[in-house]
Amino acid sequence: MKPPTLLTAEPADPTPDFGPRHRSGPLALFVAFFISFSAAGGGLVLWREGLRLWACLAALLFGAAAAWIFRSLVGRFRRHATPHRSHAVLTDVLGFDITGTCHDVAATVFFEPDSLAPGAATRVLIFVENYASRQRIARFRFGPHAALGLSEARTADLNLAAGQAALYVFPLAVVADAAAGEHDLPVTLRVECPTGAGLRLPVGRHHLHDLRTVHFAAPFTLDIASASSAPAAASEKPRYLSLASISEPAPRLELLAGALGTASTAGITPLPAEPL
Amino acid sequence: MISPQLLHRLRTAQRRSAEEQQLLSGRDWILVAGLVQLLSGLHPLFVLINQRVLGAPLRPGVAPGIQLAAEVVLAAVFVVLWLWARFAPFRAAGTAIVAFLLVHGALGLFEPRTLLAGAIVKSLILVGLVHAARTGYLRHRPL
Repeated sequence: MKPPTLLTAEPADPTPDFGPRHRSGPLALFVAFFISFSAAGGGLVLWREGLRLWACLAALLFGAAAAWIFRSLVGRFRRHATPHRSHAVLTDVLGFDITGTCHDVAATVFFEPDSLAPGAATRVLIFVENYASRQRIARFRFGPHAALGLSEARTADLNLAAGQAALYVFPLAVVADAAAGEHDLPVTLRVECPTGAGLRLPVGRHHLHDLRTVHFAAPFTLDIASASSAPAAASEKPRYLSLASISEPAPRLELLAGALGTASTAGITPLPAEPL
Repeated sequence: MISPQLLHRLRTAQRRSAEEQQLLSGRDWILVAGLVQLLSGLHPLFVLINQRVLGAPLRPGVAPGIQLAAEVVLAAVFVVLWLWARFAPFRAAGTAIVAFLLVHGALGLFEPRTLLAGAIVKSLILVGLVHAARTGYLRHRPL
C-alpha cells in the first residue's frame, strides 16, 4: 500500500479552528459525576478503615480528574454560542441520504457513472463535509478490487477545515475481462481530530448519529450488453475540490459542475426520468 | 449552479450507495446483538460468584451456571452468524432470530422471571436482529 499523503482541497479554505478544544458533552458530565462520587465514597470508606494515606491519595487522584473535567465543562458553557452555521451541502443543498457522521464528518461514496461496461471509465466520488468547529483529517481506505484494477488497497487522507465541504474525485477504469454483475467497492472511513473535537455546528433539522468508523460499499453494475467502444479516460487525475467554506456566504457548486460535467460519459446507462 | 440533470444523476447514484450501506449496517446489528448478549451474561456470572465464593444461598429457578452458559453460547453463535452474514445476510439474520427465541424461550419455560429480567435489553436485541433480517431481505431485491 502506498504511503498516505495529506491532501488539501483547492481552493484552500482559510477558516481557522474556533471554539473550545474539548466538547464536554453529556458523557463528560456523567464521568465527572461518577468520578466525584467515587472520590467521595472511596475516600470516606478508606478513611473510616483507618487507611488515611490511601484515603487522601484516592480523594486527590479522583478529585483532580473530576476537577479537570468540570473545568472543561465550564469552558464549554462559557463559549457555548457558535458564531458559524454549516452550509449543510451534503444534507440540504445536494439532498443526499446521510444518516450519520464519523467524528462529525459526513461522507458518502459512490460511483458516477455506476452502470458500466467492461473497459469503461468511471469515477469514485467521495463527498465529505466537516460539521465541527475544528479541522478534521478524513482517512479513506478503499479497495482492493480486481474488476477495477486495484490490486492493493488505496488510501486518501483528506484535510477538512472547520465547516468545510469538499469532493474527492478518483478516476478508475474497469478491466476489460471483468465479470458482469453487481460489484461493491469496500471503503472505510476513519477520522482524526488533530486539534481537538471542538463544537458541533448546527446542521439544519437533521439528526446525525456519530460513529468512530464508517464502512461503505460503493456499488456499481457491470453490464456486457451496454459495452461501449469509447476508451477509458486514462488522462484524468484525482482531484480534491473545496465545495463550501463557512467563511463564505454560499457554497461553490460551480466547481462541482465543472469537475463532473466535462468528464467522459462512456458506459453510462440512461436512467428513467424521475422527479428530484 | 449545477444542472438538474447532473443533480439527479448524483442523487440517484448516492441513494443506491446509501441502500448498499444499509445492508452493511444490518450485518453489524448481529455483531452488536452478540456483544449485548455477552454483557447480559454478567448478571448470572455475578450470581454464580456470589454463590460459589461468598456462599450466598441458592435461589430457586434456573441455575446461574446454566444461564451463563446459555448466554455465552448464544453470543458465540451470533459472532459466527455475523461472519456468515457476509455471504448470506438474510439467512444469517433469520437464524439469529430463531436461535435467540429458542434459547430465551427455553430459559423462560424453566424460569419465567428470566423473561422479565432484562426485558428491555432483550427487546433491543430483537429489534436489532429484525432490522438485520429486513436489510438482508433487501439484497434479494434489485437495488
